[in-house]
Amino acid sequence: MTCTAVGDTIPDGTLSYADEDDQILNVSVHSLAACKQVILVGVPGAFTPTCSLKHVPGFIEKAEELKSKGISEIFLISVNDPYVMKAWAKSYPENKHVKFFSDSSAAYIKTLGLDLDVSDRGFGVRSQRFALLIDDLKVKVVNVESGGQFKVSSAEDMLKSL
Amino acid sequence: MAASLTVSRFLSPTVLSFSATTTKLYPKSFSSKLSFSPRSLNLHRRPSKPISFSTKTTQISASISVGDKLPDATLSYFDADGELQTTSVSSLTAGKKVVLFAVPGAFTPTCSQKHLPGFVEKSGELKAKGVDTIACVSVNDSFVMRAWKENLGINDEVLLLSDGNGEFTKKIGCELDLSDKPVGLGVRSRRYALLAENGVVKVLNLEEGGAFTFSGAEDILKVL
Repeated sequence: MTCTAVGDTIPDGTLSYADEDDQILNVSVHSLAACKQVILVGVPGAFTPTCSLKHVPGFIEKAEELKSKGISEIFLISVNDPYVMKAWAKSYPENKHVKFFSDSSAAYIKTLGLDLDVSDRGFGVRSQRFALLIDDLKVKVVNVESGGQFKVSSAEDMLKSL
Repeated sequence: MAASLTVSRFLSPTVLSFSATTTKLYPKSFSSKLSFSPRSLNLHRRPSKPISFSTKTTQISASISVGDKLPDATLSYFDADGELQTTSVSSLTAGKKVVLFAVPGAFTPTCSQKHLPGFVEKSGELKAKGVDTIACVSVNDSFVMRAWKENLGINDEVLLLSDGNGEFTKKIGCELDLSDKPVGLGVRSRRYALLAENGVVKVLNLEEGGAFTFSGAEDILKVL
């Protein structure tokens, strides 16, 4: 059950990333997504198994195909700090298109209504696993996983919806 | 309509399994918000100032001092077989000489480039001087700590321990509140290095914020 629904305008919010000089920069979601077709992918945690071994690599692999179908950008967000996201992004040297962003405080994820309380073992509030197709800020497709599944939010699933 | 969720499910049980020694996890429900209201948020369009952990941090007086027994807390890590383990500070330190050092964050510049590598490099020397265990603590989850360890090519020279909820860090009064920084790191640990014998603090080199002036491996070697 999500707050963000098909037909909604994707809410604006602030994401961050660390640049080559390890400087932290902030960016607004609207400035990233306006006037384009983009995919926004949310994952529970950097370096966690499903995220690292299946979900993210799928998008990296299918990025060219997604682009050929009109997707301008693929944004990946997680509730991890920008340094962790930068290190995680670097662990995929083959990645050309997926952009990794940090939603450290989970503020944006909460705005989307896609937060997940996993306070056990020090995980705190994280993002649910999801993939959204957004066209000029209008949400077109919302694929949110139930629990720990990985059935609807993969790159393949997004390709099917295009 | 909430679905019950356990951490192990989202962590892909085929790759990861929890060992019998781990603390029992309680199923958690999704936090489901059924209403949606767009909010106007402050948009930061310009680059933020360079991040420095060491400047202008709030002075927090530490609860822990030389002579104190380290408070108990649970820390976690992935073992060589990829199993998630927990350890208590008491079992880690009982009857041993332990060097425990803390960093504000895994993968952050000073921590990654100087502090942790310094201890890895000097681990042989430290152990030759009677140190049984060298452990690095950070307020990061265990997956991130494991990835950091692999990234720096660390084997068993230094144990990387996750104080994910900041429980241990709070108990010793070494929190570093970085929540108000643009980067949003939340509450982390101040940088420190301590020597404990049978759980009692013998040496405590506690930095202001994330500064790196006397909490390195060389500094601990000098006092052994």
